[in-house]
Amino acid sequence: MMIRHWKWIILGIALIFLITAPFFLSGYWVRLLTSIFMFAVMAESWNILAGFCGYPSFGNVVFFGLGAYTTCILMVKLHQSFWVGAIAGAILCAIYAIVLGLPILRLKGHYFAVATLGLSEATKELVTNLDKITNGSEGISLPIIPGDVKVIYAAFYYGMFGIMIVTILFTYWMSKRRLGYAFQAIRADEEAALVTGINTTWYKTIAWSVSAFFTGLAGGVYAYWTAFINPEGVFDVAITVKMLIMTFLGGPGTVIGPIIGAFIFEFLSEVVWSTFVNIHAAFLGVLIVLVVIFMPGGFMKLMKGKLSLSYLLANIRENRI
Amino acid sequence: MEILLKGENISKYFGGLAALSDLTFQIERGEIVGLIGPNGAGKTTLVNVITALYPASKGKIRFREEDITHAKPYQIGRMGIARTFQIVKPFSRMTVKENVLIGALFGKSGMKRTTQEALKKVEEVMEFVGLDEKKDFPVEETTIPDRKRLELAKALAMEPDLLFLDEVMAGLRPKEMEDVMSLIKELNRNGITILLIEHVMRAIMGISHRVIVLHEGRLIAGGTPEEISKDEKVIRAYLGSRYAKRREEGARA
Repeated sequence: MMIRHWKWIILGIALIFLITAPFFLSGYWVRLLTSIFMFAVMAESWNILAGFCGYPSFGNVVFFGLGAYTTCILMVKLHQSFWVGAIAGAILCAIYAIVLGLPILRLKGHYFAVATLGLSEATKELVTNLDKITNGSEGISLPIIPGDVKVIYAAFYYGMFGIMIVTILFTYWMSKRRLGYAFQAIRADEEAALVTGINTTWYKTIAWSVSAFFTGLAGGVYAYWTAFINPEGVFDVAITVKMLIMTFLGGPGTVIGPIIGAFIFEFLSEVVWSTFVNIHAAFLGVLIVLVVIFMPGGFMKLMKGKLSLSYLLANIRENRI
Repeated sequence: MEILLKGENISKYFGGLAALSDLTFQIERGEIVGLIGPNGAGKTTLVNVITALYPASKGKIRFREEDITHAKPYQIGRMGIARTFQIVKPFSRMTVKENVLIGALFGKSGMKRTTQEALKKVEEVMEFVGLDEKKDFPVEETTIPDRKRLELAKALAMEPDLLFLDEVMAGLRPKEMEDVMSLIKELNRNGITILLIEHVMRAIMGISHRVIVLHEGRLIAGGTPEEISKDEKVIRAYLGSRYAKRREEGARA
């Protein structure tokens, strides 16, 4: 019971800190936190599909890019408001996931991973080559928002923060209900889930489209925030890899794990980036290997008091080192 | 008696191998039917075909009045057919209770239930199978006999009319086996029709109303447990033809 108590106190302090942060932090930190919220949304979305439902997508960045481009094109070419653009982008992503999910979600494990990777690369090429609409590889600029930079950054800060909270609340709500249990049953054993009466195709498709929706929303806000996007940037495979690392770092299949993972990873990455500019990627690579070997359940599992020598040794043995 | 499940000329081929050939059988409502046969006879394959995990290559399957030959596995689960797996398939990284909850949230009437109502059903089932003390255990930390009970609990939470039990007693100690046997009898009294696959003869003979025998994908005999235990074809299938011959000679002498 004590532990439960502490959890809420820490959560409360964190919330108060994050809500008031733009009033006392510098622009650099506000931007860093905004980007952490954005990655937290994407990691949590990836977690819904991979952590809960057991389908590791290596192409989820496709929804980030599509969301960003839809928002951009609706705003720049069709003169719609940002809100229309962002919502339309998210909905388009959900539909894209349903249409492509029906064939692709029949594949499992590595096959699914490779198919989704192919999907995201193919979509990137498509966007690059539809240059009448998308300006091709040159990218598109969005209208710069007039006004005080500090206020604008704070607005994006709260926007991303809000999306993150909604994503977390949705995941929490889902995890205790039919939807979440269906996902978890599919992850554990798809055959057993089927004979229990779970329409696995339907639930897998829902998992992916929800995942796509939130990722697309984050993409839309990102586009308006940076005011410039190009295919190389918003369809970058490295973004998918980040979603994955953050989820594994925090704990796949848990509600709060990917969020914690996003914070840890982005802070670490920021520190490493500023201290070891040249070997930054190598350092992160080593970090990933260490996480997978020593704490396969992520940060959340360590928090459950499983951190002991025997736990570490068991993981080392399991990885045959 | 109402016919609950009817298979007509069911065959299942894996490439050129006929795992099941031309099976015709029926199960009446309220029966406990024992399904026996040597290893590799096709018992589990038959259950897989009926539950549509492996669709039948030929033949027709009817459940109540409906043709379920081309139904999807989840549709069959929702119609009221549940099964256990011989190699237990607990839902990993969840507690025992959550495992049973999944059965109660789906299955025959689960979609109409709220999570709260499903949890009530879970309590009931856990008490019935005797798992209530272990309900908060992660499934990874349970023993094999408990996992066998859990398989049963998951299937029961689905509220089936027809239940396939695939070797739920294998590997249990005699006392545990007695417990499971009385559970099965009680389920049957509560109106669940049961198809019992088992190698433990004492269990099959003790509780089945009727026994059918599979051998190399064919049904070779059917009848009451006493009839089956005396059937020449069955003895030959189980103990080999040489033994059967010796037995005949012994009888003549």
